Amino acid sequence: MNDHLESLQEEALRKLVRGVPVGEPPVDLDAAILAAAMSAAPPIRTRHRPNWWRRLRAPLAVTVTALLATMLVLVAPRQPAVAPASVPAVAPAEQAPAPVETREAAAPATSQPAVLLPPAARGGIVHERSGREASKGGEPPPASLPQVAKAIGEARSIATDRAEASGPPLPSPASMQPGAQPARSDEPTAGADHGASKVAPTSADTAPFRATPAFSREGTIAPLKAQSPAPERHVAEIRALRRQGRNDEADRRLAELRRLFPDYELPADLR
Amino acid sequence: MSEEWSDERLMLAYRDGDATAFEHLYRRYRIRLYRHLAHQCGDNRLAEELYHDVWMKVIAARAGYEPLAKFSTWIFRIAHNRLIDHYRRHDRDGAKQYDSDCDPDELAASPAETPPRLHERGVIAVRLATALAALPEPQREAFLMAEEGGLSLEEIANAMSCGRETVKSRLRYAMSKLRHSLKDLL
Repeated sequence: MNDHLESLQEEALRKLVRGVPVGEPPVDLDAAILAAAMSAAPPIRTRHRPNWWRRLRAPLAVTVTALLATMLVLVAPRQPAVAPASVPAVAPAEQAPAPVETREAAAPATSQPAVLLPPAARGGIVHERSGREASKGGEPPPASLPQVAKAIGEARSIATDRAEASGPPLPSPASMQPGAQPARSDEPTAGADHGASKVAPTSADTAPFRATPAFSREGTIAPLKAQSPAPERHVAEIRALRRQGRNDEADRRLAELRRLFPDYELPADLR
Repeated sequence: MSEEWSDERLMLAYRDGDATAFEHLYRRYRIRLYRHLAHQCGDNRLAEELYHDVWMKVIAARAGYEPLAKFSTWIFRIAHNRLIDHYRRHDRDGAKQYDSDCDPDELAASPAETPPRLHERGVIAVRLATALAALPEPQREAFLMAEEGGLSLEEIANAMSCGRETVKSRLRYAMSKLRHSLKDLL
């Protein structure tokens, strides 16, 4: 009973306390407190910028990366290809005879000596560049003689291996020195059906090679070698001449064989 | 949206620079805190001064605010400490009543605590103020925290830095004395 009465009195007391008009803080006090709070609050930007940056930095990084990659892809092919000087000359040595042969077959007998290009400039994409330079009349970069000799030596060793099958051997570096005998432009093209001529280049392929026909400085030994028949055929013809009693002509052909193929080991009957 | 946020979230937003969060928070505690202080000291001018100081302390402490307790507990604790400072400066007897070694139930009401503007208020207000003024400070504060601030026993204990049972006892004695003083109005 007393508890119930007390609880009722407490409830009435609470209502009484809450209903008492104590008043409220004056407006100017509110304004002063809020102004102090505003001025004390740090700028929102400094706090929110990291959130914004955290949300966008990943997509932004992907976008920038993709943009850079696209620019690289678009710009890279336009830059001129710089062929290193240490590119092996094996590929050019194998490819050089075919276009030269084609050129010699189409060129007049009084063609000028070919311009020498470095071995590296004869392979792959560089062909287009050399072709452009040739068409523009530009001077090709000079190649040092040791580089040329080294490249020819490598090519010769490969060509010698192939010569056992069908192709003629390459001339020795010594034969390509400035003092070597120039080749004749009117050399017979009996060897046109040999080796590289079987892979006839198209007109687009031959165009870049017009300015890079040979290894040697004069550009004549390689065409001669390509146009000359195989040494075995020379030997057979020389033997036939001797059998016919035409020894002078046979000796001349033998000398020519030695000049063209100095490394060729002659048969015992011709030594 | 921020109107639905909790007090603690609003305070964290204000700590991070959102001034509008403070406005919402201020609006929630404006009347409660002021009435608590006004009832506590019985002087509107003094209540306004204390009220201003409490909010200034809230603003100054925003940078290090962590929601370790409810915001209501935190701000009433600030008010409690500010009241003790006031009593220590101006009313040594009032400050002594917060001494833990002193049993507030044994203390007599201060006879000089009659509000100066009793005649300007209504009869009920005068009677209530007189009854509240007759209470020992800790009992009155606990009572006002519960009735004006709406704090729970635990929150009051946290704000007043005392035990839950102490708060319960203070509330019981305060209620009993007020019932006795205002018996004819209930």
